[in-house]
Amino acid sequence: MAQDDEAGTGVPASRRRGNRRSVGQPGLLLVAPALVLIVLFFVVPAAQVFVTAVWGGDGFTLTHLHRAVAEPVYGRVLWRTVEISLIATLACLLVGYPVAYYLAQQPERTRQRLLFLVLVPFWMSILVRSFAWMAVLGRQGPVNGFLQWTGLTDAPVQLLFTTGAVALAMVQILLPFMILTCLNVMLAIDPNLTRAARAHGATPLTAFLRVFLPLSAPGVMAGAVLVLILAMGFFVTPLLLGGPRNQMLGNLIVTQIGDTVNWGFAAALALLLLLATLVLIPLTRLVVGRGAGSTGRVAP
Amino acid sequence: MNAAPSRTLSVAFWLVIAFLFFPVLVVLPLAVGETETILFPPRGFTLRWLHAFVTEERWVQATLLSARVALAAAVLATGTGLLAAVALARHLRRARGWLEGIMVAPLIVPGIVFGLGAYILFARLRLIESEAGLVALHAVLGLPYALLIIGAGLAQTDETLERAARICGAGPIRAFTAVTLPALKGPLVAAFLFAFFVSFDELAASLFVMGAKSTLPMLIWADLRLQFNPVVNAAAAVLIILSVAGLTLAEFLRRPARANP
Repeated sequence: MAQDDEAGTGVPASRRRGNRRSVGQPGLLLVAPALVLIVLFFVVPAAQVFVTAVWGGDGFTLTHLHRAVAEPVYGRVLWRTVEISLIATLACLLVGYPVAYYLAQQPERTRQRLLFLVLVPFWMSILVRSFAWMAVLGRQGPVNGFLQWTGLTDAPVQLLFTTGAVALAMVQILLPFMILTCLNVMLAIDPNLTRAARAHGATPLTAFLRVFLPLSAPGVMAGAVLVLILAMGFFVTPLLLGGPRNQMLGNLIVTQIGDTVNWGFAAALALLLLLATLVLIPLTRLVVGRGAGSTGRVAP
Repeated sequence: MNAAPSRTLSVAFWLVIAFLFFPVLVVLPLAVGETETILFPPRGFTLRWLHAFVTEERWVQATLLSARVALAAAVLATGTGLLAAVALARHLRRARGWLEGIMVAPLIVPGIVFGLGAYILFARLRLIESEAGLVALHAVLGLPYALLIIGAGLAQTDETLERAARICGAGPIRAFTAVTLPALKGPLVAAFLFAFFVSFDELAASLFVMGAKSTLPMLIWADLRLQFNPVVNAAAAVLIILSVAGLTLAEFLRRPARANP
């Protein structure tokens, strides 16, 4: 979003406002409450995680981090977390992009109405939606009911407590993030560019592949990064739908605090989670490919 | 436009919408089913679970706690969000980028990491089980939404009207409250509702800092983990209906219809 000058006078608002008082002060005063809130209850807690991970009773220590990486139990969970998160991100990308594209092609009013349908599930609690998938995939759920009714199976199939169940529910939960982020960037693309390509003889497919797709890459990139970050931190969905073999780093953190009360180690796991995400982001860039130089704006 | 690809896209779109709604539609009827397990389609009809939800002490207490915290957090997020949005739009344009960056950051940090940080901080400050502490944490999570929605609303208002009021002798505060604020009513209510539901549904931070005092999501979480209780079906249905109603209202009120929530 560019700095907008609503009055269109070309003069910054700060200068247009009277000269009676110093200009910066009301702004600082107004932003102060929000800033204090964010610093005290977001920046400081986040910093606590970093500090606690490497700062023990006797100063700087790497014991917690070393343990988190070296012990095979935790390595396996880390790997599982990465695996499930990448599957979910890729699926969100493949499903979300066409949906965003479809929405971008609609006239404004239709788009608003259709977008509402994406937003309704987006606003429902992750806990409730994960629980809902338990009901859907359970032995007495509608999917198993349907399979038995059609005669495809005689006995209920084990759908719950599988990697697939976790990934499926995560895609359902994260898909709106991908759609909204992609759509944001797509709407900023000048439709005349594709039209110009068509006018110069490009087929619709070529115009899409050579013009629209590269231009929308920043949105795809931003969406994929956002979804990946959020996916890596999941703990509700794997616990309810994954069973013991599909627990993610988030579940380990909950256990560390709930059962063993080991702050240092829990913080090291959280740090590991963030580090793994940072390592994965360039990978996402690789998948998204060329043209994804800037990440664009991560809009919610 | 080619007809065939756009028809395929349209079918794909509706399939995705169906996928997004399917689990929710499955879980709703369970609230009135007679069986004590998660069975679909449910058998029989009973209001027993809904009745238990509105009468049993633990559910009532948890719902009241959640509502109290969400109300306070939404007021805090909307209030600070309004002031900050005005500052960013009208005063601190040069610092806008990084200020907005910091204040929107809670959106892209996993809840579990945020919750852990909050837990460590609260444990050190002896704020565990403090309702005010939870309100502040939830306000931080609602602030990005409030800031973005009110900011979008503010961008639609005409600053020259406010200047006209100033020229006619109104002080800066009076000019703002009399001219700009009424135009922001929709976005403000929308911001409040979004912040309310962010808090009402929040689990990770609550789980870490609240200990034995349960919010509604914490109670559902505990019952799902330990021993399934059919009242959870009723609680889930109530949460779904509440958030759909609140969101519909919020979307309707958010006048400057924008692509981003």
